[in-house]
Formats: sequence, C-alpha cells, structure tokens
Amino acid sequence: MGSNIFAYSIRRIVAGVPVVLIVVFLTFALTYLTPGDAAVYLAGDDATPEQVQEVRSSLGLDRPFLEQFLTWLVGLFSGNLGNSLVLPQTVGEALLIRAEPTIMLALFAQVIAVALAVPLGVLAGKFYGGRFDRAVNVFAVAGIAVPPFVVGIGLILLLSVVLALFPATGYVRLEDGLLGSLGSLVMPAIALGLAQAAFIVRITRSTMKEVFSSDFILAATMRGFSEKRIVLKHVVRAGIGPTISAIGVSFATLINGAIVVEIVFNIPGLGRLLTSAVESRDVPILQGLLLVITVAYVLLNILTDVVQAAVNPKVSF
Amino acid sequence: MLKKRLRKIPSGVGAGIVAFWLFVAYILPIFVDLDPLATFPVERLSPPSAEFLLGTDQFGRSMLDRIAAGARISLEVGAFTTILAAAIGITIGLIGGYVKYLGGLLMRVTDGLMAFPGALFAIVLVAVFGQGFLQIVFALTVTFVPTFARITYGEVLALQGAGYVRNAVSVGCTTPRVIVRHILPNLIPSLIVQATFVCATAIIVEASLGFIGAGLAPPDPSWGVMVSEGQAFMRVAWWVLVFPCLAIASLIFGLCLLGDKISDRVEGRGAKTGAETAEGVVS
Repeated sequence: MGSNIFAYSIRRIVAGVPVVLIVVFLTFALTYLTPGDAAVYLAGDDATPEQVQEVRSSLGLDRPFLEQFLTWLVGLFSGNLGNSLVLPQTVGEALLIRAEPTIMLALFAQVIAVALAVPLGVLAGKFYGGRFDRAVNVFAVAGIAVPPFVVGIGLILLLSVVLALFPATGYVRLEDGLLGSLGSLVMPAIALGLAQAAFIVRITRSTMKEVFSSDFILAATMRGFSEKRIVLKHVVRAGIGPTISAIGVSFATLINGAIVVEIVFNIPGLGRLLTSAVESRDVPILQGLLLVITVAYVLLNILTDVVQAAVNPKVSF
Repeated sequence: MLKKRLRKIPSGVGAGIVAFWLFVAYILPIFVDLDPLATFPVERLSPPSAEFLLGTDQFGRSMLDRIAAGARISLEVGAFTTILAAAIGITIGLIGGYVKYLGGLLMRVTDGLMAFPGALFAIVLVAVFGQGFLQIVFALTVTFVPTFARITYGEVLALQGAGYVRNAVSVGCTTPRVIVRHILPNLIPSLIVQATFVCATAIIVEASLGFIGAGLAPPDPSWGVMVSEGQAFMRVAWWVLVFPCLAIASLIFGLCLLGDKISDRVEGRGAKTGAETAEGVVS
C-alpha cells in the first residue's frame, strides 16, 4: 500500500511536468507581447535609438526568441528569476520579502475556512433540506457572490469604524511576535476565509448528504453505534475526499483573494508588489509572481491528489 | 414537493435581480438623463436626497448616474467575455476532439493556461496589454477560454462513443453535420451553466481589477474603481462606498442564483454544477 502511494505520487509528478513547462513557456512569451521592451524603459525617455539598441544588446534582447528562452530557462533552474526594472532587488528577493504577509494571510484564512466549512457542511448534509441546511446554502451562495474585498470593507466599517474593535489596516511582521502578527490579520483573514468557506461548504454539504443517506450508515445506525461515533468515524471519513480536493483547488481563489484583500487592509504583501508592478509595468516582477504562484498551485494540486488517495481507500491508483 | 417549491423562489429572485440591473443599465438612461462624469462642485459628498437619490461623491458627481453607468460596464464585460470565451473555447474543444494530431497539443496548452490562477493571470495580462475596456475583455477571455475548451473536449470524446452519434456517422452524415446536429445540442445545457458562472466571475474580476488599480482607471465609473475611491471617505460619507459595494454584491448574487437554478434544471443531463467547475478555476 505504501509503495503504491509512492508510485502514484511519482506518476502524478511526472504528469505535472508538461503542464509546468507550458506554464514556463507562456510566462516567458508574455515579454514578447508587451508593447515596447525593457530596453526602451531602461534607457530612459530621452535616449537616442542607438542608446536603446545598446541597452538591448547588453540585455541580450536582440538574440533570437528561442535562444532568449533557453537563457531564461537556464537562469530559472539556478533559481534566478531575473532583475526588476524598477526595484533595487532581484525578482527572487522582492518576492521573498513580500511573501510572508501573503502566506500568513492565506494560511490563516484557510484555517478559518476549514474550521467553519467542514462542521457546517457535515451538519447541513445531516439535516439536508431542513432549516439549518437552507441557512448554510444561503451563506454558501452569498459567500461566493460577495467578493472578499467587499466583505473586507464591510468588516472595516462594522468593526473599526462603528465598534472600534480592531485597527483598520496594517500588518505586524512575524519576527515581532506570532500573536501580534495574527492579531493584525484577524479582519483580513475573516474576509478571505468567509469566501473560501462558502466554496468548500458547498462541496462538503453535497457529498455528506450522499453519505448520510447511504446503506452502510443505515447499517451502522442499526447496529446501535452512537451518533457521534457514526458521524466522526464513518461519515466524515467516507465523505471527506471531495472536501480535501476542494481545499486544494481553492488555493487559486485563496491567492487571488489574498492579493485583493491585502489592498483593502494595506498589507505589504505580494498583492502590493503586484499592483506596484502593474503601475510601473515591471514585467519581470509580474512574470516572477505569475510563475512562482502557478507552479506552487500545480504542486499543491498534486499534493491534494496524493493526500486524497492516501485518505480514501476507494481512489484507485 | 416542498423542495421543488423552494427551488422556484430563488430562481425568481436571481432572474429578478439580473433583470433589475439590465433595466438600470439600458432602459433607465432612455428616460432619465444620466451623466456619470458631470460634476456639481457645490454638492460635493452630499448625502442621498431628492435631487441626488444616492448622494454625490467627492467631486459632486451623482452616485446614481455613476452606478447606472457602472452597471453597463459590468454587464458588458461579463457578456462580451462570456460570448468570446465560449465561441473560442468551443471551437478549440471541437478541434481537439476531432483533429487527433492537433488535439493533443491544443489540450496540453489548455491545461497549461488552466494552471494559472484566474484573476492573477488576468491582472498580469491587463498589465501587459494596457488598462482599457477592450484589453480587460481580452485578458478575461484568454483566462476563460480553457474552461469552455475543456468541457467541450470532454463531452465530444464522450459523445463520439454514443450510439446515436456512431449511427449518424455510419449512415453517412458528414462531420460538420454530426457536430452541428448531434454533438452541439447536447453540449448546450452544461455550457449555459458554465456561461452564467463565467459571466459572474468575469464581473467580479473586473471589479477587483478596478479596485486594486489594475483595471479601468478613474474617472471611469467601474464599480471596483468607485469602491476604491469611496474607501477614503468611508468615515464621512458612507454612501460613496456602500452603494457600489451593494451593487456588485447584488448583481453577482443574482447571477449565482440564476446559475444555480439553471444547473438544477439541467441536472442529470451531464452538466456539472457551477461550483465544481467555474469557482475552482477562477477568482
């Protein structure tokens, strides 16, 4: 069994390689779509065409497409994502500095989401069609309908402007204490977590409903097992698979949401880096962000599949 | 029985909300003179009144006029993106399913495109191409083409094995005829469900782009831009912030309810629910 899962993991990783290669290629191709290249930008506004040409050849931008791609690819493998056009750091350094708040926010939000969605989803599945279930359903639709930045603004209005409970914005770095850091993220994490919970709860609710009405749960009830034992040992274990993949898949919405929520709460994370790069058209930064996040997403999806296979004996591999 | 009746109510609400916004965006301007850019400097940040039903913003522009104009932007971004992405995606899916040697390559590229987290990809594309309406629609279209291509491709492969399709081929139907008469009609239910959710997501992403300053820019009355501008005044003029927020939330809520309803209707005909498909890919 263990070796099977190992073989399955290897197969999933190998299957992911072409996807990553295509992602890398498409990301590189973005440079070619930009109107005006980096040389024009770096040479400055009053540079002569000759000067621009000089910068261009010093950057290697006059080489053929394929050669440039290969150079870039070799750089990638040695961990070099290129240089920012504007910031004093390399792309890799810029990403590293800004990654902490975003990762903290994303993890915190996902923890809130799972803690909220799984119990709600299980209970809604148990009382399917009842009043509680309908309330959960309304929450699920509303959570998807109201974008996290609107929820965030609602929270600021309610908790800091009206009730004055939390500071509206800002971030405390991890090195200044975990609790303070988490404290500064409470509102943004709730704003983001609610949207994530809405997505996850839909999946949990519909699979749990199926499990609750299945024969083996009826059999367990007839044998006189306590309700608690049935729910925790049988229902959750049998029905948790789709929820796990929902948690994995929702990483994409999580990152997208985190970027926008950061702007609402003025958190200096990857979202800020993204918006400033958009403003200055800093294409290397944009490429780096897109590439790192997408590859992380692909890896996470593979991990999700493997975890799901490990938890659910029904998944064949 | 009860469940059936319950399902009926939200469908009315969803369709009603969407119809309301269509009315505000396209019918209202015929009867009322709306100008989202006209400024009344004396009336800056005045609260809702008989003259300005939803108040005015920091430049003394009517919030009502701006929200109506914003509805137009949102609906058009949603509609154009959905139509373009569906047209291109379905074509790619059909080619993928029918032209074997191209199919593999096309679907691998689709996989690659799909691996990008939706909104992030759209933001980067808009940054590369420029922050105009057409560029945003283009970026969103590229983002959502894979969704439609995947579904079409999957269904085409499944349907090629179906008895009636093989019959049609064996009695000498040409490939175009098989596609138009036998394959496409079966795709329509799942594609319509998908389209509702792509439309909703495109509207959310456009608003988010405007909000973070990566989409349409002031003074364009995009709802996202309005929320972003209104944030600075939330302690003194709630209406500048709250009305655009409500507008976004209600339109998306309506579209989601409508999509759920449609997906309930076509359930069991092979359609995936929106939550399983659109939301996982997007935003």
